[in-house]
Amino acid sequence: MTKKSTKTNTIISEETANLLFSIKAITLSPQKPYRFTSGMLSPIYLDNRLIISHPKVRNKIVNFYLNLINKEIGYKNIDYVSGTATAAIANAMFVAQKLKKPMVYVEVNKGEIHKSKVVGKLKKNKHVLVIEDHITTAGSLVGNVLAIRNFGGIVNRCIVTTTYRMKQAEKFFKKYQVKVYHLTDIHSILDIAIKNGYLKKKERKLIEEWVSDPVGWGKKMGFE
Amino acid sequence: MKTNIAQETAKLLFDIKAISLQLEKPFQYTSGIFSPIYVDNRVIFSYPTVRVKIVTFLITKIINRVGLGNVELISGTATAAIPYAAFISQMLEVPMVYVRDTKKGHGKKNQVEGVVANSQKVLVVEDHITTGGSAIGNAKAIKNVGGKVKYVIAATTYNLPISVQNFKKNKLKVFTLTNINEIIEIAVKRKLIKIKDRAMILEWSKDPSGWGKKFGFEK
Repeated sequence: MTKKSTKTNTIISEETANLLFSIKAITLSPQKPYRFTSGMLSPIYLDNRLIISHPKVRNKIVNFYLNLINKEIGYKNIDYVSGTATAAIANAMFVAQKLKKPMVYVEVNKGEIHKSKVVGKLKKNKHVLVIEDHITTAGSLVGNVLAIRNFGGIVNRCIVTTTYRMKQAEKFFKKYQVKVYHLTDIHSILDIAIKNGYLKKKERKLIEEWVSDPVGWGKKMGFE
Repeated sequence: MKTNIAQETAKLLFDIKAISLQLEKPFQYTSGIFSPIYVDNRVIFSYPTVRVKIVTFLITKIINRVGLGNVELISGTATAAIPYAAFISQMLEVPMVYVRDTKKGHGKKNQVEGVVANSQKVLVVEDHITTGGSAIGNAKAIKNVGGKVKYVIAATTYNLPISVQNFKKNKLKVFTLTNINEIIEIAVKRKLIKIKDRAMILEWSKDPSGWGKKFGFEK
């Protein structure tokens, strides 16, 4: 990666975090954590599906996608775009339309990965770019990738709006041999949160601790 | 010359095999009903030139029949109509939401994904209409969170009596690009079916649940 492209990526990363905070797609509550439906406690809540309801923000995000795809992957290296159902379908459509590429989406069955379904018409031996809205542990991203591969498509690159950069996710990327590009990550999100006054500097550690051990965090911090 | 949207759409859908007809060995829907026709409009997004034409037709319909002033938000039904809703909302530069399938047991709370403002005028987008159930479910979910829904737009419909009744009952106006009658006409023209088969398919659209038995496919 050249110095120039690193700089653009930093701008994209910070601007994406800014936009997501502005539409409340990201909210932080380190003192009174959220409880996910799984029962897990978390100081951060993220809902990138809100992006679709904000046309200006949505356009900017899609342009960031195009910028990253152009620089890091190259339009020519993509035959198809595949979004993960349901959250990433709209995003995949926006990007596919801008690239004038065919699109499919995958209904991931996390319990039985081989039962995941590719929806649309995919041809074999085509290069597929997988699009995801957010990565926690990367379970659904992997589901998408495997479904496409099972069908006979070639996937080695994915692009996502946000990632928590969890160790589990990084392990998955390595295991399944996919390179994952992101618009923004937990580090930029926390930088922007502090810069904009959504988070106190001393609370940063609390959220970083959650990222390194989300399951044990609630107990460790005395919330559970 | 003015484009005949209904015929053009039917042709495009046959071209990409989104519509299939089987008279000898009919399809059986998951509901158990037998049918000589199967429509899968989800495939259109894998064909960039076809999808642009179909979405342009939908936008023409929206402008002419619904009116852009009545479209402040687009709501697609998950999952099949999400790409349609995304594409249309991108072209019209209006916000979008999508509604999860109510049958899959997602709580009412999370049924609508995205933001609906109070009294916002919402257009429901559907890929295909069989009974109208999922379009109506979408409209109800939007109304539950404060939106107003008067119109539904879809690519195709079988024109089943039950869908007509359902929409009437729920006070929804529906616009579609093409319907079973136009589809059959194109199928005859392209020699995909014989003229005498036309009546058999039309019978289905008048009485889908009784059809299988009547034609001896169901015991």
